[in-house]
Amino acid sequence: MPGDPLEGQEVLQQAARAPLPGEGAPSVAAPAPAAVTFFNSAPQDDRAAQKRAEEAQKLLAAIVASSDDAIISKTLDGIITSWNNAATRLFGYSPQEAIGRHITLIIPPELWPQEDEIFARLRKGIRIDHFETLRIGKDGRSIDISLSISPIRDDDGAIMGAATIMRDITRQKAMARQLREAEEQEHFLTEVSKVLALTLDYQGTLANIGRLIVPRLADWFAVDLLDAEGHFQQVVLEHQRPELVKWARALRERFPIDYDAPTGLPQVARSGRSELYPNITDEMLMAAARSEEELAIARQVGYSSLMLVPLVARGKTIGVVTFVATESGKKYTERDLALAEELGRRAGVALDNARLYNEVQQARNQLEIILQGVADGIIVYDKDSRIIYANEAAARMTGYTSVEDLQQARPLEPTRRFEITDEQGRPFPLDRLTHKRVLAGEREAQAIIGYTQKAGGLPERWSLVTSSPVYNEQGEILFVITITHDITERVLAERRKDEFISMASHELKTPVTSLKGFTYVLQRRLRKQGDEQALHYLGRMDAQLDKLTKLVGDLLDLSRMQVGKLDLQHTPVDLDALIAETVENVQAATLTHRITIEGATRAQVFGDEDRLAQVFINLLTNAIKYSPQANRVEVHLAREQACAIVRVQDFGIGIDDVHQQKIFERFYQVTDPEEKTYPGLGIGLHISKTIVERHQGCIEVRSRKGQGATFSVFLPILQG
Amino acid sequence: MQSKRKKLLIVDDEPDILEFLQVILEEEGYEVLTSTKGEYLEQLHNGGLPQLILLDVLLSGKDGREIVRYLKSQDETKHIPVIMFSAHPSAEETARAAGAEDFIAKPFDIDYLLAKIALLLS
Repeated sequence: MPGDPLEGQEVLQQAARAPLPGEGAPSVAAPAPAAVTFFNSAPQDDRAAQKRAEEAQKLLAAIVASSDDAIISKTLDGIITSWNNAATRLFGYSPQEAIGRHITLIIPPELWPQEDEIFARLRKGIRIDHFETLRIGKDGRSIDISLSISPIRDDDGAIMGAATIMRDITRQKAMARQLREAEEQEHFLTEVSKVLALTLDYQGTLANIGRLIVPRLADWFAVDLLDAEGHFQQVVLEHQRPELVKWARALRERFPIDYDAPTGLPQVARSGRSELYPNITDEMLMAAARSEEELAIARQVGYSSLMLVPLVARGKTIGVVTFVATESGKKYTERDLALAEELGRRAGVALDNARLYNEVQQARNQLEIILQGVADGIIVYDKDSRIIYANEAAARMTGYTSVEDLQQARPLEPTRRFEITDEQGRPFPLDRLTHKRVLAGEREAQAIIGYTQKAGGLPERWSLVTSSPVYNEQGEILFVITITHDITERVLAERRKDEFISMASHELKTPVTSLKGFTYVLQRRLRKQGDEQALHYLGRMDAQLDKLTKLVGDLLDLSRMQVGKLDLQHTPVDLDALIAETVENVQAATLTHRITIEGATRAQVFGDEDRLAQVFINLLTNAIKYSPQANRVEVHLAREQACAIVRVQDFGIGIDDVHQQKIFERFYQVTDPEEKTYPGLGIGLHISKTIVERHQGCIEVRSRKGQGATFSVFLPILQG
Repeated sequence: MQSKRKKLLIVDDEPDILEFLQVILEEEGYEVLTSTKGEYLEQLHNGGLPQLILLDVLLSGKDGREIVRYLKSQDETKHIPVIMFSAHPSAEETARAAGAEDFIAKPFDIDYLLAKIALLLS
């Protein structure tokens, strides 16, 4: 029966049943506050019965009078015929005021049709039990009641009126409403949480929340986030009626936030405490407005009620959420505020997550942009030599058209368009590729790799390739990072320089060859003529030519060392014999110092005899050069385990501590005023050190200023 | 005596070097032919073949190593010992690889050169 006003929560009971035993027609006591008979008081003829009935009646009247439920009775016409104390308490009308009046006295006009329906049922003898509805008190207050109505029958069983028991259920109703609201809120928050969890795009997240909140909780919803400088950035503004957004925006644009104001967004952000303005009056707007214009716009917005709650993430207020009620006329309560605060907390967490995610994403993107932007090729291999990352430069440098193309390459197919070579132009052994060497256990591997095109046409490229491992906590290799640095220009420039020096030394050596040749011719002539003095001068010239030859040779060596091209011819060398010969040669050219040899290495070393001789000549000539006041140089030979040791000791000016390591560096010259008088190219010791190291040996110096110097060369002894 | 004199051929694009070598080697008793052109060697006839050739590695317009390879490929000349010299010490390997019997880096010690010549002619 749709539309039946009595359907719903009320309980209607068919009372048109045969009265139960003991249940009779109620009678209404005329005096006293009206009462309802609850049980049968069967008519008795005898006096005792009459008396019992009267007593029962009194008892009933007392019960009715003292009942906590309002109990009234009315005629079928709706005229109130009795009114108990509880009714007086509930509705405010005294019995005198109520009795005789129509029952609509306490029924809101909109419910009168309902009352008609009730009467219609009553007339049919239908009881109404626990029907929840509204009544009005004397003071105009709405009262939630639960009522039960029973028909009152006369002695003949005809219905003559109704007894109504009414219970005030305002509190229960309120509690039920609260419960329902709480459920709704919970549901709402769940919905919000779902939205928050839906996306990590925080702009989108906020907009979604906005759509949930408007119009349910607010006509206008805004989120302001604090930026790094502590300024508010409005990130969401959702309005029930989008055309009204402009007023909200206008307010913000025309009248910037006053960060020093004692209330409002800044204060909420500072204190982390919400602000609730249940009812915004025009006076409040006037008080808050800083100008007529602001007031005018604020009035346009039509504030009714306002809540500001902090957006909290990880204990920090990161922004403020604004809930504004406007045309809905809604007035926010503490309850709404609690909901809004909960919303603020959840949104804060979600927002924070979104922010973090964005930051990570941005950092990743940034990293990717950086890696793609670097000129060097970067390739990351896993432990099985598979490429798990490569940048554009890496693909380009190895001849692939794209990173994807390169990533699909087989581990031992490092280039597609190129043949790879070592510095000497030989095919580069694939198992010696730097990432392979790192995977084989080297901590860092470096190689210079040349790329030449198979089909020809592309210019050769050169790369310095460096690989290093990334370990996990267990010390196992996770990745190998290979960086490919294009050094084509450098290699080509070095090659040009090398060619230049090589050419220059050739050009210098040719005239020296002629000079030496003609010197030789002259020496022969003068010897025949017996011109000793001229011969002496020629001898000096020849010695200077030898020095010149050596310098040119050193320069050439240096340029070759720089490009790693100092070629050594390794053969077994009798070290003692080599030293003896070298000392003899140097001694022949010096008159100032006597060079003595002590001890013996009794060792063969595996090396380039000429280059080793060059080292000892260097050390001996240095010893002579830097000990002008002395007249001897000592050479000490010894062996220690697998090592042959050659020491060249002088008794000259010595070397200050600060210079001792640096003297082996290229072009290094001791800069003390005294030493400045000893000119030179500053390359002899550098060449010597390089040569010794190429023999797997080492060279060191012991010296004190003014106390001479001892240079020691350690060379591995050739076993067997 | 004339017939006992050994004939040497020196090829270098530097006339000064040719000149002092000629003076010294003639004093040593050799018959010396000189040329600044590598092509000269390829035009040698049987009658005028030298007993030893001194050959610069880098001749203007011509690589001495190619000349050695040519000489060593010809029956008439392949037995003639060749000493190459160069201001590039690194040229030794390639000079020997081309077939030269010996190599001397410029600038050289004259006595050392004379010893090598004597050794190869003995």
